[in-house]
Amino acid sequence: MRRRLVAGLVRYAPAAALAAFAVAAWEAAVLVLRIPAIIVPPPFEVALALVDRSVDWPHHIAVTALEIVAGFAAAVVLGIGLAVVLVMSQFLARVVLPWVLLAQIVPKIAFAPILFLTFGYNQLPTVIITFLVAFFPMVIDTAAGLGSLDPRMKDLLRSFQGSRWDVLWKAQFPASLPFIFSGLKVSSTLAVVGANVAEFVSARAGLGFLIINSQVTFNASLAFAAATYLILLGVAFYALIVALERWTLPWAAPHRAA
Amino acid sequence: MRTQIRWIRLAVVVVALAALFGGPAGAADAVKFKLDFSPVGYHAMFYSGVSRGVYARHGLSVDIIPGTGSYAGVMDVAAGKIDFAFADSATLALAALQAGVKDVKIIAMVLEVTPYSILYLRNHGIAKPPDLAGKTMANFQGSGVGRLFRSFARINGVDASGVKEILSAPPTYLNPLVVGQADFAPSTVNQTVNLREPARQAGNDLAEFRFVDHGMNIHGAALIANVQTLAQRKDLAKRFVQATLESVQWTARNPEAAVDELLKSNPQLKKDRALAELRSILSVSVPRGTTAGDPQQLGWTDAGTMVRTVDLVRESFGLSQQVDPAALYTNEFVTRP
Repeated sequence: MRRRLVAGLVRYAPAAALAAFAVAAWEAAVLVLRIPAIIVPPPFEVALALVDRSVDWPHHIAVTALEIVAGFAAAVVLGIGLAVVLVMSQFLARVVLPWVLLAQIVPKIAFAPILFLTFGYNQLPTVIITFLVAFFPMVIDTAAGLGSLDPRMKDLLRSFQGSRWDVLWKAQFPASLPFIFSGLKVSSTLAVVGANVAEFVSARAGLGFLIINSQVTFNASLAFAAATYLILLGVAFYALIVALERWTLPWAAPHRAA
Repeated sequence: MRTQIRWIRLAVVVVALAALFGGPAGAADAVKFKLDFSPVGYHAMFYSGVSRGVYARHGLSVDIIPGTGSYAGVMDVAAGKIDFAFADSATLALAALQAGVKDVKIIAMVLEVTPYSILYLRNHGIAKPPDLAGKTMANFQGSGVGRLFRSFARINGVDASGVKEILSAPPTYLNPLVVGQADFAPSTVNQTVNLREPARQAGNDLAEFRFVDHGMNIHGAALIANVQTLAQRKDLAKRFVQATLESVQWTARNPEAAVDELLKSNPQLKKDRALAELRSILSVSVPRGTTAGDPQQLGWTDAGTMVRTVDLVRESFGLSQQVDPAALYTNEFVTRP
């Protein structure tokens, strides 16, 4: 037990030292360069803002987390569904794929106000924007995974009278799981960005709302604190998916980078 | 027995009538009201109206929606997605001139005098408006007040041809001014109180040229509504204007208490800063609200000031289109001072 603890400390000590150095450099830079706190607050002020009881942190974190999870869930379900359709039908792939690409490239921030105008000033447009931002990697990675099956495996299953569904469910889908988890990891981080961007456009609560509101009111320490919680939320979400991947695909663990 | 039945019937009728006319929560009309920006100090005028029950007393259940600039508010009202918005008069004039928005009117002028001002650094060799010539302006893309600087320059003898610009994102575009990378910036009086101390910390002496003191006496932000709302829900508009003006006047007389009310729904705001900001807006832009006169003095849109507002927007934005300034407002919902 003690040996594991020491091993853990040794493993993460360099990262912790780097973090401590970054915070110290930040504090020194603010002092030496005389940067006003409304532009870059010292770390201590940000730390105080993180535990400021006058800010309803649990509420704001919950609002953003809900938007991220809802948009991400929609991206996963519809992304995997669409990838299956694209792999099964060459014709649909030719028709739909350009639109998927278009939806990815189009600057969401430019269209966000229209979504709010159309769907009202509630959380639905934020979830839609989160979905749009997170959707693309799910489709592309899943489609790549489904298409990665060795053709000889397909032929083998068909020779045993396997249906198209059997090939998909029993061979293509399991083979695509590492790809799907890659898509999940990328999409999860994009979902955090998407929800935040949407909250910048319109929100009554949430971490993105706090960042914009604190910038307008020149409360930079609050903006930095909200950004810190947003980063922690994103990291927690990512870690959850990595844990799920390790549980689902234990054989892939030694080859994993993250 | 018959007498008892009669009493029971009477009681049933009384209860039914009470349910019909006495149920305040269920009877209130829902109103969507969009602000010009994310909640700041001067929005205490509206939030206190909700928390103190002023709107409720007028039979209104007001849902305040944070804004992202006056232009978005005008467009939302034009599209009928929002019942009322708090938007800048000059921006409404711009929307009418440039985008042909015809269905939106001012129904009560809240900021009778524009809070626009040019923030500048005294220690950068600026003492009077002509000194702005050749200096660097902090601005953001699409800034209305930034474009109005053209008219400000003409009226105040500033040679604007040599003025350089630093463009950045709207919420943080004043940062270059605070640290002295820019010499001046178009903004509003409430930002002067926010930025004076941070600028001093960075070794700069921040001051302002208020538009109103420099030949730019135009109207500020107002309550706006769609003409369809005014035609179909006139009584609603009237109650909304009355309740809002009551709340504005109470705020003008009780700024500290109003900020306390604001903080109930926006606890992330800092009280001292919100109060300073509110006081600066009240002192410059709501001159009548501070007196103990007729509450209906507030809200009046002045014909001459509106003509000047439209003219200066046309000049600043280089627009050739025409719009009748009288078509942009109605004083139907306020009493003449």
